[in-house]
Amino acid sequence: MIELQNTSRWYGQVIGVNDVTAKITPGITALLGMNGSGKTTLIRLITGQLRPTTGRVLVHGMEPFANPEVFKKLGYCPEIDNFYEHYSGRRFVNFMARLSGLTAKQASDKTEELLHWVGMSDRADKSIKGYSKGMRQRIKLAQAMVHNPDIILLDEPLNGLDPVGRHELMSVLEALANQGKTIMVSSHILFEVEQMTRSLLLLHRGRLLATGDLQAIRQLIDKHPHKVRIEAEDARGLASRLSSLPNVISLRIADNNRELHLEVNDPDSFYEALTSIAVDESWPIASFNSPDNNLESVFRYLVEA
Amino acid sequence: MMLGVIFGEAFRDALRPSRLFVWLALCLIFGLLGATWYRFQSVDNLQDAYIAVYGLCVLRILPLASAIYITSIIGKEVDQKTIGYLLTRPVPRWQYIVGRYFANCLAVTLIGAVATFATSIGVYRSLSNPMMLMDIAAVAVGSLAYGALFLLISLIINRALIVCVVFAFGWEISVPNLAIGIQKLSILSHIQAIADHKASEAGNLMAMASGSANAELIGRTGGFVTMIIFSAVLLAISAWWFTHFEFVPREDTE
Repeated sequence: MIELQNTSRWYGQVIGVNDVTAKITPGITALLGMNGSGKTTLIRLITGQLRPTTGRVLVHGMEPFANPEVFKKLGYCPEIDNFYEHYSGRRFVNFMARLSGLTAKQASDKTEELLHWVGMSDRADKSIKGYSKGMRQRIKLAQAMVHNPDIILLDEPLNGLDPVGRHELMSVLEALANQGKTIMVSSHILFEVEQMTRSLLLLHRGRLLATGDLQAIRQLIDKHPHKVRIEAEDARGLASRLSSLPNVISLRIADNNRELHLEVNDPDSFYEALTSIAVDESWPIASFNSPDNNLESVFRYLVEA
Repeated sequence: MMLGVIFGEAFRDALRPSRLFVWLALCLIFGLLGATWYRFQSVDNLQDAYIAVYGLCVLRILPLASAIYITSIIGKEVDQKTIGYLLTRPVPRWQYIVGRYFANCLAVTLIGAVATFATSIGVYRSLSNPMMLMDIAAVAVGSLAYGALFLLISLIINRALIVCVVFAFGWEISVPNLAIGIQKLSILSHIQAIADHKASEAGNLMAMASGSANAELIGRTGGFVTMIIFSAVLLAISAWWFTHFEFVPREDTE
C-alpha cells in the first residue's frame, strides 16, 4: 500500500506537489491531471527519487527514498523515452533484471518471458536507437515488471501504443490488479483511464482535487450543464425536435445552419434520447461530440463545484 | 553479486570500440612521437626521449581520459534522463558509485598502459624498458586519484566535464612547477614521484613541461600512500553524497 501524508514538494520557489494526502490500495488507481499538474513529481516521490519537502510518503510502511527494500517490491515505468541507445532491448531488460537481484539464468528466462509478453521477442536484438515510440514503450513496460513487483507505477504508459497494444496492456493491468497488485497509472486523458479503472486521484496544479470513484465524480460533473455539439443537414428542424426534450437547457443554431450547440442536464439520458430520435425518426445526424468530455472541463466543473 | 554486475556492465560499456577508438589512435601517435622524438629534441639517450614523451603525452591524456570517463558515470545518466531506471532498482546507491568507479578507472588505466607501452615500443623498438612497469603502476594510481576527484566534482556540480578539463590542463600544468610545498596539491606531482623519473634526465625545461621538476620532493612511497588515501576518502564522500542527495533529470529541477 502507498500512503501520502500531507506530502508537499517544492522546486525552489515552484511547488510541484501541494499537501497531498491519499492512500493507494491494491487494484488499479488512475493518477489524472493535465501536463504540469504534478503527476510525475508525485510518482518520483513514491518511487524514492525525490524526498518530500514536507509530509511523508510511505510504501509498505517504509520511506522510499534510496531504500532498496522498497524497490524490491516496486516496478517503475517512466514517462520519458530515453534509454542506453546503444543497448539492444534484450540487453536492457536483462540488465534491469540483474539489477533487481535475479541470477543470470533467472534474468535471462524472465527477460524472454517479458519480451514475449510485450510482443518484442523478434525485435529485441536490435539497437534501441532504431526503436519506434511504441517499441520503446513496450521495453519500458517489460523492465518495470521483470522482477514481479507488488506495486507498479506507470507514468503515461499508453503514450505511443497502438489500439491493439493499449487493449493488451489494459487487459494485463486488469489481470495483475486481480492478483492483488497495486497499480498506479498516470494519464492526462480522461477517456483512457475511464476504460481502466473507476478509482482515481485527480491532480491539478499540484493539489489533489478529487479522489475516489470516477463514477461519483462523473455524477458531480453531470449536475452541471453539459455542452453538446451536433452536426446535421437540417439543423433547424432537429433543433425544434430536441427543444422538446426535458434535459435541454439551451439551444443555439450556428450561422451555417448545419450545427447545433446545446447545453443539457443529465447527459447520459440526453444521449439516449438523441440516439432514439436519430434512429426511430430518421433524423440525418452527421456527427456529435461534447467539448466537455475532456480533462480541462472536469477540472473546471470540480473547481466550480 | 550486484557490485559485480554493475562493474561488469560498466567495464563492458567503457571498452566499446566507439569509445576506445580515439584513445587508441592517440596511443599510436605517442608511439610514433617516441620513435621520432630525438629528431626534434637534442636528447642524449633513448631514456630521456621516453621520459619526455611519457611526461608530456601519457600523463597529460590520463586526466583527460579520466575526466571523460568518470564524469559520465552519473552525469551522463542525469543528462540522458536514464538515472530513474537505476535509482528505482533494489541496489544500494553506493554500489553504483563504487562499481562504476573501479570499472572506469580500470578502463582509463588500460588506456594509459597502452599509451605507455606504445611510447616504450616507439622509443626503444623493443620491450626492454626497465621503467615501464613502474610507469604503468603510476598510471593506475593516477587514474584512481583523478577518478575519485572527478567523480566527486561530477556529483556536486552540473557540467562537471568543463571543470575537470580546466583542472587537468590548468591546475595540473602550473601547480607542479610552483614553489616548494605547493606542488603537493597536484596529483601529477605524486604520479611523477611514483614513476620516479629524475628531473635532470629529461632536462629542466622538459621537466617543467611534464610537471616533474619538483617530483623528487615527494618520495615514491609517500606519493603512493597519499594518492591511495586521497582516492579512498574522496570515493567514500562520493558514495555518501550519492546516497543522500537527489539525482533527477536536470531540466526537471531547473
